Amino acid sequence: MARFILKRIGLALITLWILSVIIFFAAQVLPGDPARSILGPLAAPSAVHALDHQLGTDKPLIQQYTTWIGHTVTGNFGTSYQYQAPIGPLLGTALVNSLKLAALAFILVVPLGILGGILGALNYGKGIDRTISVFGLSAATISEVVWSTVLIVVFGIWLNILPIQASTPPGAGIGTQVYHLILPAIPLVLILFAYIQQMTRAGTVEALNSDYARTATLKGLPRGVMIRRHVLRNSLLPTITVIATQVGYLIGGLVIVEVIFHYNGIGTLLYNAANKKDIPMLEAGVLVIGVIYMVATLVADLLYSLLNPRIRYRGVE
Amino acid sequence: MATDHGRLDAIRGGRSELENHYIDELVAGRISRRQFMRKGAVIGMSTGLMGTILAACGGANNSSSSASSSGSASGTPVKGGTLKLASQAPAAAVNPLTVSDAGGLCMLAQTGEFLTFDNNMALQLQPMLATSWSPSKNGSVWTFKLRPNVKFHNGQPLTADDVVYTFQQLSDPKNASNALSTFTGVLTPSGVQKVDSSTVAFHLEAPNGNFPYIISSDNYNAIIVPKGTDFSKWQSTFIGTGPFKLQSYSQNQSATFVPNASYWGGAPHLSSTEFTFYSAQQPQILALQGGQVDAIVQFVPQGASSILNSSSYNIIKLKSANHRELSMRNDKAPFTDARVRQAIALSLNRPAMVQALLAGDGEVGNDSPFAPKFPSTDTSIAQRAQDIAKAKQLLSAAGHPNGFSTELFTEQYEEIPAMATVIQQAAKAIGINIKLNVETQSNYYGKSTYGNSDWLDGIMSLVDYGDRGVPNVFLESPLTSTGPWNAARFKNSQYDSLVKQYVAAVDLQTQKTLAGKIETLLLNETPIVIPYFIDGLTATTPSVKGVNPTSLSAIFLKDAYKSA
Amino acid sequence: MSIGTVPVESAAAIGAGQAEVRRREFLQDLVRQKSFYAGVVLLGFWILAAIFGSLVVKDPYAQNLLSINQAPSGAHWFGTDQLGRDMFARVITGSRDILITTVLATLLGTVMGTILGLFMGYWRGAVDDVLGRIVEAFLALPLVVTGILGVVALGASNTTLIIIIAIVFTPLIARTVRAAVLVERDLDYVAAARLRGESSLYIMFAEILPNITAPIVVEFTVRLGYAIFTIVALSFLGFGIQPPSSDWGLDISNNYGQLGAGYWWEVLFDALAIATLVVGVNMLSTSIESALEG
Repeated sequence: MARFILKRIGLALITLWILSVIIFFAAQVLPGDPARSILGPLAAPSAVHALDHQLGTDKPLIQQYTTWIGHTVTGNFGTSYQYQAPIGPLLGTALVNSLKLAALAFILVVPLGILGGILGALNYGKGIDRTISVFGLSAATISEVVWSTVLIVVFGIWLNILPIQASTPPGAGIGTQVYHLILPAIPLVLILFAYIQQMTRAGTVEALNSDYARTATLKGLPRGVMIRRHVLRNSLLPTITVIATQVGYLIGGLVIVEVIFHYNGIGTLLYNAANKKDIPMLEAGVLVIGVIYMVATLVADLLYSLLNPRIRYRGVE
Repeated sequence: MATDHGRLDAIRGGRSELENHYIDELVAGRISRRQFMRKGAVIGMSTGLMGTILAACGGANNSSSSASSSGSASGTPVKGGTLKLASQAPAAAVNPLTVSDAGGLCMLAQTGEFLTFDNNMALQLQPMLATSWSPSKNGSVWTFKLRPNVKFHNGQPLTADDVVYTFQQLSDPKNASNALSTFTGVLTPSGVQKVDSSTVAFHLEAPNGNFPYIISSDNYNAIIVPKGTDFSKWQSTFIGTGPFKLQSYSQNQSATFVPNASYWGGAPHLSSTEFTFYSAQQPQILALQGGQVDAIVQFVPQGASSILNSSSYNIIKLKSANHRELSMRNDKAPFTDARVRQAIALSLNRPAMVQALLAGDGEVGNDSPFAPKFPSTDTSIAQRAQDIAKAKQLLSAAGHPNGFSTELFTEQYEEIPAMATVIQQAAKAIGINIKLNVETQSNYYGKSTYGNSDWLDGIMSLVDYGDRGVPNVFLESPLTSTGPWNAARFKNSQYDSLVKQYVAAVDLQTQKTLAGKIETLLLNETPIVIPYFIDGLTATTPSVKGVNPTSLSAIFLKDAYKSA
Repeated sequence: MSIGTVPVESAAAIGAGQAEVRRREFLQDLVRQKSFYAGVVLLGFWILAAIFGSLVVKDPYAQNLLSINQAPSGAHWFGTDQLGRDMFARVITGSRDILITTVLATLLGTVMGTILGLFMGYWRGAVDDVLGRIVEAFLALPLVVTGILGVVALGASNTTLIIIIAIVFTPLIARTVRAAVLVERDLDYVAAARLRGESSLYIMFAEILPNITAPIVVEFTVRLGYAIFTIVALSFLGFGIQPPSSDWGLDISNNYGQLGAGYWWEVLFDALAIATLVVGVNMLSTSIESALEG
């Protein structure tokens, strides 16, 4: 087991390194110089050269990359080109904001998803199961753009009961923050619902068909008790697995929701960094998301293998 | 009312040749009282002196009364209180050398001060850290007298050394200075000279009649900092001489300022100001409506109709030279023919564009950078209006009776994508098919050099130009043969020489004559189309008084207060 | 973005000789499902709208700067936008670009993912390890970053959009195909082909590929919905379809700033159009999936 985990960590490190190379060199195709994006399109070329020199962005690419990787492995993300400030705190704030939004979405979606899954399994193949499945899949693939605009129109404008911007004034209490995050969290809930619902449904179906369940039914154990005791326990773990696989999306893929609801999360940060050619910031953001993604996938696989001993030592991928 | 010639003669005795020239112009009625105030201010006449002259010419001096007003300065200022403002987030470090964005320049103006202040509310240049200034006879040397007893926020007194340091750094081609785009060809570090501890002289590369505007608050990088300041660390202290000093600044979030008790102009009324940063306009409007902020520093009409159409807010509108410029490659077929370029210009319904795209908050343009707000603009030149028949006729004459297909490159910024489709539809009406390429700003500007930028290389290109106090930059960089932003590749020696004369001209009448010639030349050649100029808009709740915004999106809060 | 873990076991069950029988059963299963017909109706509507819509409705590009931001009325069923264009005409004709890009992007992504998956699964070992790391790295790359890099490298256009989505889909589809290939490569018919001395490429594309079409088809139909999802997102961020196209995502992007002013009709109908298209595609894909599962 320990060897398996170590191997996984080793592979994850290699993947992260490949990711850093992809980003660093792909980012070179971004138009303009970092200095140009700081000084604006109308700045004099000599000023741009001077600033590029200060930032070190006029050095050979390989040298820039080795410098960057050198201090990154020691945990120092360096300085943002655009803000001329350490990346750590900037990234930290954005990450915390994204986590708040993700956490609220999870709190809402997990019970809904499990409930929907059990309901689907109990009515396997029937109309209600079909409806939940099609609704779930559609909810997941209808863009956040659509959900967000519909929610804003209905709750923000027609009913006027929920705020349509996620950011709160500095120093707002937790209640206010949650209140402002309700609308932006709903698109995420709708998108995640299908994953959890489908996993729970599959787990429940399997459990219902298991020997244990058959015996229990034969023994006359009430269905509700059986579901609570056995099925739920068995279907919770795959749910956690699926949550783990979605962490990457939840942390890095929220740019649309963040833009529409005006929220300073990590998606917006990446979007701005790429637009401003703030390569250290872009690298740091992508790597942090990469680490979260790898850790989440690893945890998911471990949980899955714990649950399913057959694949424990095979399931390297 | 009669002119008091006796009193005027007494004043004339001590005045320079140029000052007397303006007095003559005023007496002869060739310039208006307002223009006199504005031009007089440029060459360093004090407001008091101009008031006396105007009084001697008959009538009360009413022009200067608008100087410090902000819509409604009536009533006694209330002491104390926190003014909360919504502002665009600074896009980069707040470094006086490098700042180039609306959010950043607004921050500089909170604690920093300039030699002169282009008061957009009064449309007048006013003294700030310089109390008076005067040009040499041909306008190639300008001497500024500094205000006495001014202290920086760190207690250090302001001297000529600080001013010299600031401008040498700003104009040094070896520095990453954003002001270089203004100073190139105008000022070099060696031209900035200390005369004595309270006097600085600027020896210019070429005569320049509007130099006091070029070092004014229009040149938002030019706040005076203490000698030896490390600009890249400035954002940790915000040290300047202004009425407010920094309490806290946090990137992408907020900034708080508190009064500077030893301010030379007396302490401000407010007990603090609080800026919350936003990355878009819509949340700023919602914050104002929700009472989270008292004011929005600057906004555009698009998507703002909820506050524009409401009587619950004060909207301050500033006339501005902020505009959009549609360039056509004069060196590439089919735009090599001026008739084709004119046809494009004639296809546009400008008043409708102002109404639809700017909610009416703007003025139609006449395809030259001479905005109605500039005193030197020759407003007698006929306005170009939509004329589809003539446009078609010009196209036929140029050999395109059936039109042609071409491409337009532009940026995602404010109303520009919508404007591009308006232009596309207008061109379609005269048979020209335009394919649009609406790009992110970084894609569009590219490296901002010829051959590396869709902005500069596109066959048609639509770009934004922010406000300036004088049209010099608009006339030079995008239109002269050697200009760095000549997206139209317009090369016309007659134009180049007219612009050179215009820039050097010190007196208004000469400027106006030259402006008329330039306007006519640009109408004939039509290298570019400027369909409109956009007003600067600031919104406040009714209780906010005395704010003084600029059309560059800075805001000065020395006289601001919140009435009960 | 990875959804719909496809039951790859079903692919293994399909023996080479049974293909024809399976195909007939599949079609019978398909036409037995109500959701199949609902999907056909919804998708069919938008396909017809894309082809013939412009003949029926007003000019979606015609501006009227004097009647902008008009609420829905008899003259303009869905109101007008900020340039006075008829929103009904824009919504009806707005399906064209998105349908074309969706199909082409998914097709390209499926082809590239299948090729990659075949190589990885068949060769395993070093090839699999190296490609696997790269695939993993791409999976960890946020969409917005891929989008910006792609647009910058290739310029904003429909073609760019297709390529970006294909790149996003390739690793996802490769993973599915690889898993299917891993099961197939140990089966007798592959061993037999190897003994006959067939080339690796022949075995991969002529022997294995026909036997894993089921998961690929399922993956393709599931991905169609995600392609719409991604196109809308990228158009919204300004990375894709260019104005004045009446594309739904682009319209929402241009008009959502107007929501604060209460002009809801400028985005709501576009949003509903996207929703109906996605629901239609998903109904089709779930019915195909369950027909394949038998």
